[in-house]
Amino acid sequence: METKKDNWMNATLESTEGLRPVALSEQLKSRLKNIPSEITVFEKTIPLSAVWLAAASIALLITLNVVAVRTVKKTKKQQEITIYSDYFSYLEQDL
Amino acid sequence: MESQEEINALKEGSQLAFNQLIDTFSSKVYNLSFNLLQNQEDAEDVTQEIFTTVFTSIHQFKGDSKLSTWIYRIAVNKCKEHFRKKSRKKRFGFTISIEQNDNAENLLKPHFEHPGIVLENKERARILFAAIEQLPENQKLAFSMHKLEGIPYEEIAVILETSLSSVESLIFRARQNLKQKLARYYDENER
Repeated sequence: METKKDNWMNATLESTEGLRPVALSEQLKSRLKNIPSEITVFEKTIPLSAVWLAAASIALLITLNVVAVRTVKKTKKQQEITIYSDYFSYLEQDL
Repeated sequence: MESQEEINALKEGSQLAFNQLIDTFSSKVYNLSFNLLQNQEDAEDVTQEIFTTVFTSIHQFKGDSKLSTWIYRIAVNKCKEHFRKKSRKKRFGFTISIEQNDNAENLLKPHFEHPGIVLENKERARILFAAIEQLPENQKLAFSMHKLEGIPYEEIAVILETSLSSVESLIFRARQNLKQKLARYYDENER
């Protein structure tokens, strides 16, 4: 019984013997051969100046955001100081 | 396709040299992808990705290994990316139902019929491919490259960037794992 099982397992493990390679379709081969022209077309359609312009715009946007956040924080801090000083001066008046 | 002149022509972006590269390697690369991914459409898409990477990265090829080995390494990495994408999809539950448990996942589900298998072995090969699909990634890669593509151990070691003894161990463990899976399948279905 075990021999039958072993035989089956060995035959299954060796079932890819004589495997023939699968032929590529002509369509895929021509797609592969077109890769250089497709990449060149992509490079040609997007000029380098446009890429730099986009990068500069993103950098400017980030800078503006950082400046805006810092300004908001500063204003909030100043407002807090003003509130506290007003409160203490009010207390001092009462005394 | 391994001469320095041809490699230089590739680096200069020569269409003629690239066509020669496709004629020389496309069949090997496609078959490797097809055997690993076990799906024609996926293998075609990954083959296109592999040769796009070859074209855009050829300037990085320094000649430390054979050009074929370098291309195989790109192919293996692309197939690994594909496995990971597939397993991410599975984890998010797009492809398996919530009723499936670990035990069910370990069962062999023969589904892939390789057109290059001789007729009398078709049924057994379907079971073997299902078992190979369940192997851990590196065992699957090493076993498939050696057994299905006939790539020697030394070259597999260079492709997987590991030692020769590691490749031997990977293939040995792959065979052991496959035997276990086949034994279980036999007990459940063939007895």
